Amino acid sequence: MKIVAITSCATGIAHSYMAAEALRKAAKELGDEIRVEVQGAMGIENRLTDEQIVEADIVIWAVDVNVRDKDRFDEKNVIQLGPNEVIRDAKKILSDIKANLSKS
Amino acid sequence: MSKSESFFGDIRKHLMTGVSYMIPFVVPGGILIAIGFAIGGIYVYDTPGFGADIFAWGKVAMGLMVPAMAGYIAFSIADRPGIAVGFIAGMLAENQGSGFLGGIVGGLLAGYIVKALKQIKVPDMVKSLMPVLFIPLVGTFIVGLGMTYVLGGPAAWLNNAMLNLLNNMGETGGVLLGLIQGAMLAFDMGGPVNKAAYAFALAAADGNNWAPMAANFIASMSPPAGIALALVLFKDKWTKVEREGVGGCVIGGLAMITEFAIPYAAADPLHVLPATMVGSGVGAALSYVFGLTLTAPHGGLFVIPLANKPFVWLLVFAVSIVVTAGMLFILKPKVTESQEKALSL
Repeated sequence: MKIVAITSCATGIAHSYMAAEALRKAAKELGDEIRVEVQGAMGIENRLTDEQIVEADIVIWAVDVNVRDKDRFDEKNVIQLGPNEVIRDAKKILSDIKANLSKS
Repeated sequence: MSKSESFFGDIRKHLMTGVSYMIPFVVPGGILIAIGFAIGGIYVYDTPGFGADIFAWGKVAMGLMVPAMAGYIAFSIADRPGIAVGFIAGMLAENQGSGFLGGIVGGLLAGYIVKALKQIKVPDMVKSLMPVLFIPLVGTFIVGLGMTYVLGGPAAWLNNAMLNLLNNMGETGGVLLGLIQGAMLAFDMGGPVNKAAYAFALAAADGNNWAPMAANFIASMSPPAGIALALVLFKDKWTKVEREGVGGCVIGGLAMITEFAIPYAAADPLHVLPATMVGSGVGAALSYVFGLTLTAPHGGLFVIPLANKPFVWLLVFAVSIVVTAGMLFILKPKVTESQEKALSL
């Protein structure tokens, strides 16, 4: 599946990147394609393109703070959780989301 | 659109956003003020010169702290149109002396007012006037009424009451405050609870009381530093992979990036978290007992010369590290072979 995600934490120097890494690793293990945009203290890194967002099957926001330019996601169904949850067990979270998706 | 969270979960996110954008203002503010004092003496603001200039730059940065926080709280609630009205609300709070608390109230007020104004349906012809004329003007007008005639007074009173309490707190109060503050800082290591405690230290700093900040430094730096010490001393309590992370923990401990301790806490929260919370709590409590202050809001060991008593600060920091490591020695069981295998995969 195609996944896009945004990660962002309060200070924007550690959790944001750890969450991004956890998501990438989990997606790789589950055989999914993922793009992660980090909104950290240095600004937006790896900004998602409109095309990537339109094509995505799953949109995840792993954020403690407000997402910048969120109108890009107006048409999408966003799954929102905290970066800490993702760092703890990204693989389970991704599997659960996929299981829910295939049910509906 | 996104799955909505609970109202209070939303508020928490808005406040975190505000604090997040505020920190880069406080850092140069606090440090430049301290450098100004160091160059120009304690009456630097009355003695023109380079020291006074540096002091003035720091003052400006500090003065933007509350407006920036309010602006970005409102941004979190109402997106882009919230920023201007939020900044104005924060500046009003700053000017009326309601400080940090007034900034929070003002930011929330501005955010929700702008959010409501955005819902108003207008004909397409005048749509472009909404963000450039109607929302900032009407939003500011309503926020001005609210801050000046309703909320500003009580917020200023509460903010001053909090600062007075802090300034007149005896030794027992300091110990209690330190234990709670330290435990909160070590609880989720850079997460929301940690940031709430950090926001308290910032609020006090905004009121020119830098004692909570000294405690904040010790309690934020000792989890990774204490774990680093335990990694070196008690090798049989950690897996090989964990022990390889000692360098990161040392850096995290010195640079005040508590997050480096997370992998260790995540692997064994029931044993690691109580140890770091006790270590940080004791360190923060001692910081109040010795009357330590530190006029920089971030920067780890590099800004310790700015403490009022740098050597006492280092001593308390050392105690905090030793307590953390000692608690780990007591609480943490030895690594079993199966754990070693599972984690090294």
